Parts: sequence; structure tokens; C-alpha cells
Amino acid sequence: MKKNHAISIVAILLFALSCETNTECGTIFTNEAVVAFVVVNSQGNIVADANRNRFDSIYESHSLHILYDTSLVSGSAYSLPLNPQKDTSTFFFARSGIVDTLSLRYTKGFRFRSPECGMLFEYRNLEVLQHSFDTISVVKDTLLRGQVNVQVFF
Amino acid sequence: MYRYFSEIILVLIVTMLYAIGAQAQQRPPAGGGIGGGQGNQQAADEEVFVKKKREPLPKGIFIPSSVTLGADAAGMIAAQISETTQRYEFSADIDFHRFYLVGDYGFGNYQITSPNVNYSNSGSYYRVGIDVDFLKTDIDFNKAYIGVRYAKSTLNDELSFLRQDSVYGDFNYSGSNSNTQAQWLEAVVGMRGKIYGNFYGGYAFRFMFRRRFENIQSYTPYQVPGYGIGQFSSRWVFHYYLYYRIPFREKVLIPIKKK
Repeated sequence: MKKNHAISIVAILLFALSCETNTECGTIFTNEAVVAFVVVNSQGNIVADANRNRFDSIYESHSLHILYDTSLVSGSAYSLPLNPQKDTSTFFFARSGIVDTLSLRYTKGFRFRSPECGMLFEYRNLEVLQHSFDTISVVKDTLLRGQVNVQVFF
Repeated sequence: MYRYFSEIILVLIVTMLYAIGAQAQQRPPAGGGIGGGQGNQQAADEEVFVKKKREPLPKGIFIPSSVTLGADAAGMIAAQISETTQRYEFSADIDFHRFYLVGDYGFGNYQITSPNVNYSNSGSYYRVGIDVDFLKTDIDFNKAYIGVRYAKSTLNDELSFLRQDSVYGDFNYSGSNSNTQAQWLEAVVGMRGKIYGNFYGGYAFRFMFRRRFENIQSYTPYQVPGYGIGQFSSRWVFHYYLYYRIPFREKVLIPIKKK
């Protein structure tokens, strides 16, 4: 009879685990491309250029929605939301009457995660389509939280 | 919903396991014949049917003796109480000594509606494979087994959602997959125990892996009939079954003379 108790307990534990629902809706994916402005220092290393505010505003071209205005433009990296309805997004960087342009192309995908968590969007294969900066490079072509995707050399 | 469902199933499985235990306790200590424990008592005194090593197998031991039909009990209960999922699964197996050729067929649908996402899915699936029974000398034909399966599912699904975006505006999407197929492999461990007469109960633990899709037109299906959540390339589940055994000849077991 002890054997049956053991079988029951194991089966119940395994069953309980099998019915565990995943209520954690966090994700490492994001819809924001991080563009970092960098300089090469005297040692030849690439470092963030955080010493001065470069731009008066940053806005996207679709609806000219201002992403960063003067009060918010600071630091050296900016998170730019990509357009989920298109495969390209263009951003304008305004400073002292000069406007720089950055166009990004990407592959977007989505999947239904669960009724609790809804849709998950993924952006991959990021590349620079067009830009007006001197030098630019894509360092991470998949959009993940906390990672710089594009480096702009000033 | 999961909590109530699991409570019902827990009652069922505990009942089933104690039924198996009670059946085992009623069994004669040695021998007892073949064909469901109804054998001759005199023969039982002379022979026990236990495993014997290095002896040639009796003639005809690989000739099938029964077909067992089954249904996924938990799936049927869930289909009655769930607002989102209907799932029905049936199984059949035939014995070849300690080996069983197993086939499953199932069908189902899934539907979820929320303020921003609507998803529906319907399809069918089958599994084929082989089990190896570790209770090959059990006179009640209980079964404790491991096995492998190949499984294939065909499904149609539809997805629509509204994404609200403060920068780019609202984004409405509507898409579907038609005749999309998924294939996977399974490693199975399970038990089947006699409840009463030819009725049996049992469960199977399935580890499903190497899931592959074919003919995806729009997006990865959220639900795959017979597999579950489609975005996972491997997963595991429990299935609980009720069976009815249909014997058509006496099963040849391995006899060993009492010393």
C-alpha cells in the first residue's frame, strides 16, 4: 500500500506542475531601436558622447510625432520606436537649424503569446537604409531590451 | 479554471491508482492462470507465470491477443467545462508479447476572445508508435510502459488583433493559416491498470520535442491540436485515459515451473 501512496504523490505532483500556467508576461523583445552617439577617444576606444546635448528635438517622419524635445534630449543614447505597420522607419534629428536623417529597415514579426499576455512583437534584421551622419554602424540587428542597436560616430 | 479542472482530475487519478492497488492485492500470490486471472487453480499450483531468462520464448507469444480502445478522459471532461477548448482523443493498441503497436487520433478546437485579440483554431492529429511493457507477465494485463511516437497535426486558425500605438496610431491586423501542419516526436512513459472487468484506467506522461511547422502562411500558430502551445519547440503533458480491452485469444505468457 505504501507503494501506491508513493505513486499517487508523484503523479499528483507531476500533474500539478503540468497545469501550471505561465503568468509572467515580461519579454526581452522591444519595439524601440537604441541609437547611441559615440566618439573615439584618445586611446582609440569607442565611448559614449554624453558631454553635451546634440539635438533640439528628435521626431519620426510618419506623423512628425516628437519623440524627444529640448527638455528631454540629453545623454548619448535614444530609444526610437519603430513603425509596426511598415518595414521602415525614418527619424529626424534637429539641431541649430540642421536636420539629420536616419532611416532604418527591419523585419517585423509577431505572435500571440497567451490570453493573459497578448501579442508579442519582434523586430529583427535591422539595417540602416539611409542617413546623413558621417559614420554609422549597426551593432545589434535584433531589438532587445537594454542593448544598443546603432552607433553614430560624431 | 485550471484549479477546478485539476481538482477533478486529481480525484480521478487517486481513485484510479487505488483501484489498481486494490486489484493487485486481490490477485493470487503466484500463478492463477491466464486470461484475466480466471485460470485453473490446479494449474496455478504447478506453474507461475513469471519472467524466465535464457529460455526460448513460447510459440505464438508474439501473436496478438487483444485490442485495447481508449479515450482521453481528461480531455472529454475539459471539453464539457471549458469555454475555450474542446479536445477529443481516442487511442487503440494491439499487443505483440511485451510490445504494443499504438495509434491515437484526436481533434479539437480552441477559441479565445479578448478586447484586443481574437484567436480561433481547429484541427486534428494522429500519433503512431510503439510501447514496451514492463509488466509483461501480469495476469491482469496491467501495463507500465515506455514508448515513442511520431505525431502529425493539421490545423486552420485565424488571428486578429488591435495594437494601440501612441506614436504610429492604432494598428489592426487580421490573418489566418490554412492547412498548416506540425510534426513532432514524443517519448512516453505511462501506466494502465485494471479497474473492473475489461475496463482499465491509466495515464501517460509525454515529452514532445522536435516540433516543426510546414505551410505557415501568416504567423506561428498559438495552439496546435495534440501538441498545445505552438511557440514551444518542446513541451510535456499528462494525459489520462479510460480503456476497454477486447481480447480475441488467450495471451501466451512465459510459464516457469515451480521449484
